[in-house]
Amino acid sequence: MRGYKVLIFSLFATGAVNIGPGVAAEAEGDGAKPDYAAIVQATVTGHIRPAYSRMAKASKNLALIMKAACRTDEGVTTPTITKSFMDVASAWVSVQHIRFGPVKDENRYERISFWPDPKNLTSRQMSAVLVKRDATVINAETLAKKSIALQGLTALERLMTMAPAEDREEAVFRCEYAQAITDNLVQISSSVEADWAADKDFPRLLGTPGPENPLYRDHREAALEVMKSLSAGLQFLHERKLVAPLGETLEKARPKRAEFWRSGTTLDALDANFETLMELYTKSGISAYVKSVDEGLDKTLMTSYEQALVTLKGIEKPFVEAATDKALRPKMDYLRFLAEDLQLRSSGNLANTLGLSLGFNALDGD
Amino acid sequence: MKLLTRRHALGLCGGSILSSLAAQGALAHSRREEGPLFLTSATRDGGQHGGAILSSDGELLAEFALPERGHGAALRPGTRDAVIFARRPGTFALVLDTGTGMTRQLIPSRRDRHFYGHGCYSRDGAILFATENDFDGERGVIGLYDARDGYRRVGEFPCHGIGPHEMALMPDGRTLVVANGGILTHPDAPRMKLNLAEMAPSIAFIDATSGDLLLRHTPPDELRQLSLRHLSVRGDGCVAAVAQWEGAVLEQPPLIALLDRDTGLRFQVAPPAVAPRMRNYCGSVAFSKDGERFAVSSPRGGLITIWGGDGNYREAIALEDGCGLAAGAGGFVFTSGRGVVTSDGSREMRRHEEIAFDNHLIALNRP
Repeated sequence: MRGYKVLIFSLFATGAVNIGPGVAAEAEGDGAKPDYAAIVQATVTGHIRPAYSRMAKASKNLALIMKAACRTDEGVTTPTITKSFMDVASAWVSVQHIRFGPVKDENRYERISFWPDPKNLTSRQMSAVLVKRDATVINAETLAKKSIALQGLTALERLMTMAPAEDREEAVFRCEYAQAITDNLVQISSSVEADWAADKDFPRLLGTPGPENPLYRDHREAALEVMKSLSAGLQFLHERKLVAPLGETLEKARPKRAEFWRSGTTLDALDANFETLMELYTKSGISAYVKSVDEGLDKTLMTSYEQALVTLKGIEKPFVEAATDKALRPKMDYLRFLAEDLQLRSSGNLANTLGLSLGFNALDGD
Repeated sequence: MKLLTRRHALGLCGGSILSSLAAQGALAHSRREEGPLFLTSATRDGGQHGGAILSSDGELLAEFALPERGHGAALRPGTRDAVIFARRPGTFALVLDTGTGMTRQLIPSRRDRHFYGHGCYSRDGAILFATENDFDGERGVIGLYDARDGYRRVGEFPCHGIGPHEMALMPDGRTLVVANGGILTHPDAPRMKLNLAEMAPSIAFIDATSGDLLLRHTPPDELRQLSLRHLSVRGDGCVAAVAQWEGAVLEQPPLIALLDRDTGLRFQVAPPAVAPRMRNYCGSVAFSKDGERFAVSSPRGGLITIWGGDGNYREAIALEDGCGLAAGAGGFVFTSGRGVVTSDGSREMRRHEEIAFDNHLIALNRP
């Protein structure tokens, strides 16, 4: 950034923001409001930090296992690797809805997992580097500077599910590439975890809003990040992970649009997804507040999350098969219904109850 | 007045979708009052997408339905027709007679293209130019539609960049200026940014008859994650371009630039106490009628900033979720996602319940 970069520290030294008189921001709704500062605090300590810490730990574990497997020429498709990949995938899905803060730096979000990938960039770019035996992808440091499609879980999943290598040299190259991906994942997830520590810039700014804070002017604005994460997380789950692969009817299903379908871990990832959004809803203290002002709403939301988890446990085939299985399809459709219902209630009724209606124009880049 | 449901709107497209009562209201108003009227996309009751016509003092004169959420609009010179584009990755643009509310035409996008949400007409109103995504070709294009021939798509130009967004005709009438946001997207991954690491934003000046690139200005490398998306053109050819920052949240790049066809981007910065309130995100920009000022909205920060024609910061006005803005008779008119219509002159505010005004506002000719 050089000449243009203005770090936040200098901003703290400047005077108060002189804005207005203008149009005052009008208060939303009437009556009691939740303690926004407490919601943010509880979300960070009870949900965000533990979830990123699980992600970093699972990545480290996978990296160790990968290293061992490569050393003994076992390749990248052993059951142990598949199992720890599943752990990382679930851990990633558990933080995937958190799209603010340290994960936004250095394109970390996209580098951890490049999905959805409608143009098959991962496949196209990977074929090229595999054919060329591109040495820059077998080193975590140089890989980190390559295309995001070559770096993360989507690329790793492909390596793990490819047709077997034709010769030893190719097998070794794939293994080295897989190691670089896992080392890179360790680096990214550890950095995100570290940047959420209490003494770091972002969490400090999130917790101490004010007129001179460059990111949040009051606790309500900070709490909006929590509400946005919940609502957008449910929307992503509904639209991308269920509607897109399931299609309107069984005949129109396109199960290969599902997340992690190649490794057969889609259903585990869906389970982690409902689980983590429910955790955000409860650990943030939002559930407890809603219970005190609108018990029915809280009960409806909790029941929907629980129903989704129970339904998932009853699907005994991989997602790709279940999506087109006449007997299992109703369960899949029910999941989709629950996700949509949770999303609509959360962005509507729940957001209103909390005084955290999402900005119409502020939501996404246009 | 109640908006039609989406299903109704789809069924009725091609016919009148503005209730005749509303149209009469708008006409009656236009005979009665002074000051321009305004057109914007809007969403009612949290889900019914449409558009609205507003008076200068914020009165809601008419509403009409759209099949999906709308975005930018353009007025056809010499007529009272206007086109509203679907919000990206939308697949329609709707032309309507703003005087009667009759739908003139629903323009579908080509199957392998989608609209980005903005466009403009040629000076004689014959050709409509629209920014579009050739998503399989991974490039932005400008679609050309013959307004005299039922908006038949008659061709396309490359936009000489990725992710074109707002576009305008330069005062010479022969040059298009396009804000290429630089972000690659695909309709199968709606709103997922596929190339943040390799973004290439630019402002391109393109020959409106040949499609040739005349000049293209790009931010310096350290600002390559500055997505230049919106622009406004002044009578003397000065362009104000505003951006959304896709880089690290704690960095504070300049978000606003002035440029002419022949000179590069001259970045402007707000005072340190105001800049962070823009939240690294500008939603809309417009010059005042006399060109002596321009206004920029930052909906995430709930802030409108006013700048001199020389690019110097003047003042800021708080408006929660404020995004739409346009030159009014005197100053600017602003709209917000919370149903507010206000202006910098009177600072009086009018609020419409249950309606959210969308990102952009344009002034209409008097019918």
